[in-house]
Amino acid sequence: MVLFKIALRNLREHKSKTLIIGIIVGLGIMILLIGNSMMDTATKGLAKTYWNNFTGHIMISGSTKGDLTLFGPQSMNSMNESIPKIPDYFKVKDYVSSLPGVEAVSPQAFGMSTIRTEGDDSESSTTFTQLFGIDPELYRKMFPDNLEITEGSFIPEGEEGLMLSEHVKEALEEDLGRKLKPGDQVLLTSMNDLSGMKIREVSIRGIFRFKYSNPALDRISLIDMQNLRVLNGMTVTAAKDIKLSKNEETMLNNVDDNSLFGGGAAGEAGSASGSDTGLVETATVQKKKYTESVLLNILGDKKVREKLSKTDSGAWHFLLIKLNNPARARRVIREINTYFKNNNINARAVDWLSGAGMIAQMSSNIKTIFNVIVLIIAIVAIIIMMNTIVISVTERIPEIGTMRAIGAQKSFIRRMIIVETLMVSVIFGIIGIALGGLVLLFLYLKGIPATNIFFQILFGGKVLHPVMSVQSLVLSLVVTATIGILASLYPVSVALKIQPVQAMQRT
Amino acid sequence: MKKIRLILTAALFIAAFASATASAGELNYTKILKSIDNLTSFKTTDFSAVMTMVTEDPEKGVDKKVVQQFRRDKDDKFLILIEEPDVQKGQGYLRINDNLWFYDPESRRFSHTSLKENFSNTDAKHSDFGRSSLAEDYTVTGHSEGKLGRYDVYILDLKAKTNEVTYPYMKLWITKKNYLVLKVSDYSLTKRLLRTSYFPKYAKVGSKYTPSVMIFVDNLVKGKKTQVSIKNISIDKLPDSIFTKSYVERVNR
Repeated sequence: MVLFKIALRNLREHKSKTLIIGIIVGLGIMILLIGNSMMDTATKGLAKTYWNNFTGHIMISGSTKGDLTLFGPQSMNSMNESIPKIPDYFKVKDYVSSLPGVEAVSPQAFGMSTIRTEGDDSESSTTFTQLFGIDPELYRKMFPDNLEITEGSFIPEGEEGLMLSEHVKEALEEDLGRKLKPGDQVLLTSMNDLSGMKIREVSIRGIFRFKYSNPALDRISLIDMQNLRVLNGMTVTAAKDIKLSKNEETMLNNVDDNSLFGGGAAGEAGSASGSDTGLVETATVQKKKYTESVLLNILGDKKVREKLSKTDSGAWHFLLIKLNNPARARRVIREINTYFKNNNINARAVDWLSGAGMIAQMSSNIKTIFNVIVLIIAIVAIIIMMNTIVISVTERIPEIGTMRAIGAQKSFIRRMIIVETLMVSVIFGIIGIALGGLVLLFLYLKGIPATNIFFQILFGGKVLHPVMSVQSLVLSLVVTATIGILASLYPVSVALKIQPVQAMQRT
Repeated sequence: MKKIRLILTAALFIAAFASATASAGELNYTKILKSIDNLTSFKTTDFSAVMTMVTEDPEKGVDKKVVQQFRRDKDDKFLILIEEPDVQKGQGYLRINDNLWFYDPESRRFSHTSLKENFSNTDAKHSDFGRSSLAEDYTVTGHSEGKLGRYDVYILDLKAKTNEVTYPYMKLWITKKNYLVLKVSDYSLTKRLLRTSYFPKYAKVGSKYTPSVMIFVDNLVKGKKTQVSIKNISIDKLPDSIFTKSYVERVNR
């Protein structure tokens, strides 16, 4: 009690310093509370936007070395990696659908293609679109309200067609110099590892935009899976193992100037400098007469091509899962991954954020950046407070010395300084929390408008109504106390060094 | 006054001589490009061959394609028909002047494509299969001499005259003895090395030369490269109908 009385008296006596420290603490706590509450609300909004519009709560895919998103590999180390098919897709789908708490599942695949119309031969007018291959029925069940269809209608159940992104349509119209409408045919051309370049002629069923979009989603068009499987080369037959001849292997394994041109094995060169030996061989020119029959039979039997081109009806890249209760997502992910492990299925389940792509991940990272900024502010605040308290302690050297001379223990002086600092931190911290709460209430009632599409995604809507979160409140209180204790450590050590004799000299 | 006039005349003479020498040097290197184009283009005959392309990709493994190539350099035409793998059999690339069409036998559709694109997942570009037109497309911006392996070579830096070409900058290693290109480094507009091509073997066909082995190394994806070997060369006349969309459709029926 005596300690509190002394601490209060000291604070009253050094009003200006108390006020400086108090304002720093109060402002810091207020910013922390408002910022964190806004970030919490936005993060929840962002998650909700993605759950309900693009990703569901959980994403299943085949295993890859690098990270995989719904837009394909996006990390630098896996850019060249192909997206694998989900192994045993039907088995996986049946298992996941049977899990308690699973509200909906929707398979999906990713592809990219150029888009043209028949007879459009202009090389400069290359419009690209990214494609989400979908099962129209399951997609609408999972995301019933994520599209605004501006023209035409959605792909009917069990039918083929293209839902063309409004942004891609505008770019294509600019290239073509004419308008496009539902019912028009377009040529999609893409390249895949198995069957090379593929062309599909597809009918535009509708033009749409995502309700909550961003630059990554603007270029996405939706297509039935049969057409995407052809474009992606997702066939029943896998690529054959290729055996190279010794000569081919030698050449490919020794690609450098000396091996190829310096008389190494691949070069087969002679010894004289500048000689043609090994570089030039006289070709055995063949005599060929290309009759009509020779020309038309040049490819031989073509039936095998049709057999090999048959698409795999179970080929999907992703299986998206929506849960009744999002809070169970982690547990369900663990359960599914254990199932994969026990059944030797080379697939994995991850949370929605892993599959959401760079923009969503970037939005989520902003919170981390904000917390780092807060940490820096807190460190600065601690240094200023420490400095102010040290000055205050120096001014009170005679007083502290006298207290020590009349029997005050070191621990008493230590506690006195800590109590002083804690009192300032707690009193002004509470004021900061109260002010922050008022500001949040005001912002909640008024709403913060999202001025552009990035903020719309970040806020999870067109307006953010920040709510004070319990997490932020607890964090603010913890930070207040921590700042108080940390800021008093150095002043305490200064105060403890004061000897009674110094006090006498100063007096 | 006389002295000044003399000095000025001498200076003008030296400048004119230096300029003439420089343009003569430039002309020589452009001549080398013209010789390369002339040596490797078949302008008085047609050309056909079978090409085997082996691509090695550290992520995707090995891929092998066998294609039939038909060329008519005097008209800037070529047709490439894929024979293997079976799943790609009949896919065709038809070039007529600056237009290049790809044909997909499964959908029976043609789609316009670009000479700058890669040929069917390989590191070769479509433009690698036409006639050489270095002198028309590039100017020589730098030159030096050196050795590549055991060959004495000219090393030329080229800059594209138009943006129609596949690469805006190139560096060529050319044998001094007979102007055969041994190596080419292809650069982007920002001078980033995109691809390195090697031509370690040539076939002599009459008075012309054609690379019988080409190796293309992707400098953006480590370990990715394609080797193209050429065999069954013929320079017999090809029917005009080969270089038509109708033939590409009919051969696939």
